[in-house]
Amino acid sequence: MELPSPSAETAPAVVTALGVASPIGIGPEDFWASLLSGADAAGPVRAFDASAFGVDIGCELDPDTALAGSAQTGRAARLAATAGAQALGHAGLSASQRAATALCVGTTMGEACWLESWGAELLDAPEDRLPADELLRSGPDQIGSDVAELLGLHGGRTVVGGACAAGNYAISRAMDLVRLGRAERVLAGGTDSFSRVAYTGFASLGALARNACRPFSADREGLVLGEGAAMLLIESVDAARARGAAPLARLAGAGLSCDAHHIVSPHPEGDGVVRALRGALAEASAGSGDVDWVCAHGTGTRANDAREVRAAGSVFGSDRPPMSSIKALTGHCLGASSAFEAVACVLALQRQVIPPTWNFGATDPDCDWDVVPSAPRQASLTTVVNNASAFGGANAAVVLRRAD
Amino acid sequence: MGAAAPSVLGWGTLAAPGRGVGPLRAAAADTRAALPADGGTAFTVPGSDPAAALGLRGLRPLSRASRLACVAAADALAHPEPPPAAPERRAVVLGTRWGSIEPLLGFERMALREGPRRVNPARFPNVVVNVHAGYLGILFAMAGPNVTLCGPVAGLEAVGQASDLLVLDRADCVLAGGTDDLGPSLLAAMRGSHPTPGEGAALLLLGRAGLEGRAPLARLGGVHSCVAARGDDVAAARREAIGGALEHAGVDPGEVAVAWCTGADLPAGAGCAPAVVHRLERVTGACRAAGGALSAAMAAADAGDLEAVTMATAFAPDGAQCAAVMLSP
Repeated sequence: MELPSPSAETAPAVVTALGVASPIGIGPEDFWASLLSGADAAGPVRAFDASAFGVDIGCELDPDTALAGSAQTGRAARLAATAGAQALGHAGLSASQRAATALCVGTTMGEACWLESWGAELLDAPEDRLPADELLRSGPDQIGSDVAELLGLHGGRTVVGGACAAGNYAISRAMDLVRLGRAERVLAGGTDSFSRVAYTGFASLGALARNACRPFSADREGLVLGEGAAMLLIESVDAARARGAAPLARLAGAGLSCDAHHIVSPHPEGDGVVRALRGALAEASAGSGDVDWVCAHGTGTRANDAREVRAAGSVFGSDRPPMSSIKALTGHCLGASSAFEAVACVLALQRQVIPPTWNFGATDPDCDWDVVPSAPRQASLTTVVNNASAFGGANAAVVLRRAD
Repeated sequence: MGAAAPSVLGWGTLAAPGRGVGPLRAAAADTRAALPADGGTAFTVPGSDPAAALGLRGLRPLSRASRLACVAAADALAHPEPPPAAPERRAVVLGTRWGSIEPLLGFERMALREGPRRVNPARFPNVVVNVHAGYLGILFAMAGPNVTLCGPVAGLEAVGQASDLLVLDRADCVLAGGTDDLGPSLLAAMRGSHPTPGEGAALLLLGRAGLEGRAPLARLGGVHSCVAARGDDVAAARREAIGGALEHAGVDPGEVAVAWCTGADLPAGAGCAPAVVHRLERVTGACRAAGGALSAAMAAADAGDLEAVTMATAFAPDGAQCAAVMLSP
């Protein structure tokens, strides 16, 4: 038996439409405008009473934002459907094209919103008093069912639990499905709602910033938790051409790895990140000198940022392309993060501008790199890399190229 | 350029009947009605710590779903020699449906009861759904792609995605399958549901064709998954899954000798009527994502031992439908 063995050169995948439901803007244009203006979404937590945490800032969507779906739908699915509807609306697919479109969505917390809506009284009650229906709808796969139903996508669905790299895992899987000829068109990205459980967990690890997210800066103090969703329509070149769609960017390769080191702490030398980046570059047939910008994971924690810079040093050597993080503005939106960053990559390639690292104070010797501090930069961008890492040691890097 | 069918190099299974394919085969061959050990509530894996016998260091923080997966992984990898690939070329693709729900509930209870600043941070990773695959990576030195899929048939879909990783040269071997446990909250939520709920884990060690170092025990012919939307003809989607898997494998429906099914029986009209059809839930309960992985492991074992074409299926009531074909080595 012969299985197809495609390559990026013979079966390329392209991005043809974008959708964003983010704390710094709804829709790609608002999102991009905020990335360039430095409009920060961090503010007091609204989703729950954070007074007992010792930290009380987060990056949430404007509460007046109209979301797809109803109150009976989980918030992570509503965020993803809101972003997905934008992308599908922009693409202008026919009804049959939309129905045949597959869905691939990544998440960290699933629909934990249901469990988080219960109070201590209920959680301390006997197990058989818990609302069974809500419990059984809390799993991550519920997001896939609900988004597919809301958007009328019947071409197959995959829910990837890739934690903070889930968006990139979902995008790389969509790229593979297209390259393997399993799907002509996939709506892919990531989503997570603002989660009290996640907030509790990151606070317990001492990972939350008290004031602001300052990636790579000497005075960085941690991450700011966020929420949102970003979805990208990924198609084969032939499928896009057949419907007259202009590609926004090409997906040139992906690299996936596991630190296999510690369930929470990153490998000190960034071993897994190095392998993910090198794998992505190799798949894209790109050398380290071909990369014009790295959209960093850049969470703003001391360990992650230093590790990412060390890994970049190993991969890029003296080439040292600029590397910035957008999380100073968006916060760390968990499963949505690398999907936001993929959208930023696509828009940067289109507009030939690097979104900067905002909130940057002073250079940290452990992060001595051109992190494009505090101002957007015009640049000639042909090849960019979107880098992401996650709990469990999972890493995922994706290479994107200009469409033309 | 093409690539031959991936090799199945090992498997590990753990479910209510016991550890390994032997107890599952024996239970499936027993035509008497199987009863859960607790008298009817659920098919649970005996013992509070199913991984205790492994003697692995570093198991203390692991949740039950992770421990179930560790047992299956240890058995799938068990061999006098290490896995036939460098650590960075060994991948994990693990399916689960609710593998982190009980730890999430426990963490939330602790935070609400004790206050958010008094939770044990070591318990936080277990609320994140990819933790099980992460632990497999750490404990078994699998440093390649580390993927978690979520859904009721994700254990069998994981086998398909593992095959893709091999075809795309992202790995030389892949641990693929699923795990799902039954904690007290899930058990209460599913009490009285049909089929009876169960728990378990299964993992297959797949290798790219031609990988030196281990003789194949079976071959993965093909995997196909599709979706039946609400209101769609579910049987048609199941037929599509079966037909797609057979087409990938290049075999005729009439060649399938044995089928291991979970979620539903083989649909009429698929042209596939094996002489032996096992309905896994009868002896394992409905193990959700682990169910499809258990089916895949049993189908692989039968393909090797019987030198026959076999099939594994995992069908959700609606939504995802998946089928796989296993070939003799």
